[in-house]
Amino acid sequence: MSVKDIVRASMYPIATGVLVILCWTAIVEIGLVPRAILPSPVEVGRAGLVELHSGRLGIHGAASINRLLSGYAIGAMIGVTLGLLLGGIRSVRAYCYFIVEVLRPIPPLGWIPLAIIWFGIGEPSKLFLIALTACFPILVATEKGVGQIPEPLVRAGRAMDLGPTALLVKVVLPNALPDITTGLRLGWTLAIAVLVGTEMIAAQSGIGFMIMDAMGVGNFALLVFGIILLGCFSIVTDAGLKYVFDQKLLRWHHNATKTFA
Amino acid sequence: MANIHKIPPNRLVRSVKGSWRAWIGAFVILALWETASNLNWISSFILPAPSTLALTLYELITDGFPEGIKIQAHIAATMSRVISGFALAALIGVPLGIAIGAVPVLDKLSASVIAFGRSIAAISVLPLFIAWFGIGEASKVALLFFGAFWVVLTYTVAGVKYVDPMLIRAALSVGTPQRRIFFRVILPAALPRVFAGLKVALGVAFLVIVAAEMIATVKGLGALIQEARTSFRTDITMVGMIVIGLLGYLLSRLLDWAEKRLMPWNVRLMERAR
Repeated sequence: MSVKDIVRASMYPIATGVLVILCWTAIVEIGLVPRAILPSPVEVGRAGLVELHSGRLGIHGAASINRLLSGYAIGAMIGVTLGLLLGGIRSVRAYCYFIVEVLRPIPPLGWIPLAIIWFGIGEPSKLFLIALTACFPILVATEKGVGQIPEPLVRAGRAMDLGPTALLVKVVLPNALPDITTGLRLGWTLAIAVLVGTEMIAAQSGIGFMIMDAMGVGNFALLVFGIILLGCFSIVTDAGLKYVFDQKLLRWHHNATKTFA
Repeated sequence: MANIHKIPPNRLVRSVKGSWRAWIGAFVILALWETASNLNWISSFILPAPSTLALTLYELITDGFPEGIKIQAHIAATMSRVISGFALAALIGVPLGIAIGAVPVLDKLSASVIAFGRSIAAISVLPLFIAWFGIGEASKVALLFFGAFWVVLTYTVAGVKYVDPMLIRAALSVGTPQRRIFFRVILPAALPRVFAGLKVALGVAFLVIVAAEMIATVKGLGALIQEARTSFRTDITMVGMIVIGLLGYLLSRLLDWAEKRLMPWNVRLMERAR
């Protein structure tokens, strides 16, 4: 991509962003909505700076990222492992896949009370929830990817005397990778949403708690700042994952650009 | 390839063959779970036995919890919230999405706003909506609307935007007027993506409502499972979760059914592709 392309591609988003902020400011300044209910962009920015300067934003942010990364890592590992087992071994799939189908319709945030019963109100219950949330889409995607490997490829691998491990690493995983990465991205965005939910309902730290706390003390500027911060975090990290997966991990996969465009 | 010579078993045989092993699996798990609970390998506070859960369901239907609110009332409360928020999102999101998808300038201008709206975790907006719309029904419906709206919009815009140009050119070449192309070609071709969006949106709505009901209400399935936890009734929490899962499943099946009724051509194409 040349500089010209980048400028052209970012022209519309920047224009829209400026337009939205101008409209928002105008609505507040004219007084269409009471200032107490909708703070102006400047106030939102100031609230964020105050929180940052006091060090609280750093503490909450670190707590959230810590939870998210550890929970997601656990969930991704379990999801990929179970997905490989369910997708790769026919009898495991036949006897056990119904468990996935029974549990999947239960929304992740619906697990909050049970997670608290099982793991207490502290960190483990939040890790459990985030891991569980990330696990399902990753599991289902992995299972799909592994299940769809063309039979001739596997047989070719066997014919070349690949052992089970080599077959897994050289044939099964690369073939399932486009599906696995889709699952990983879906799991990541869902995990962020659930992280916020758990922090709002049962936590003493984290961005979700910061939002809830801001509501409690009537600091709406900080509340809006938190919402926007989370949205930016989600959109930026997802774009990052997309870039890493499509441009780095899946470069060799000639269909990747078509599938993920 | 060997597969060519294999006669595919008919669908009924295949599905029964696939599912009897699932039934065995389910039976083994339920039996193990029941024994583990009855022999006290796991405390019934952590994991109540399946038979306890069945009794609890009966209790919830006849006596109710908390304060005599029967489970029917909880289901009705949750469903009416989900349906109003979801219907609102569909009613506004689909027409708006069609307009945006059909007009390139609108699409370019709104793309970043829609992308951003979609990546805001709906649940994080709840405190703001409570401040705006109060603690009652309005804030919950608004939250569901917010969560479902961006999804419906994204999928509808994509559906209209990515209609196969061959279809449009084919219609033009036989002299179809513009308006007719829009209603007879573009809209039907966009419908599968719109439906996919509605299904995803329903999932989002369910995710959001359960959490929303845990904050500041006693009615609704989310409130039920949260209240049950604070009164140390694990059994009620688990029954509530099962009911939530079941409702979500039934709603998505309902959408599948509607999809088949509305777009028989698409379903036939999909089955042929399989």
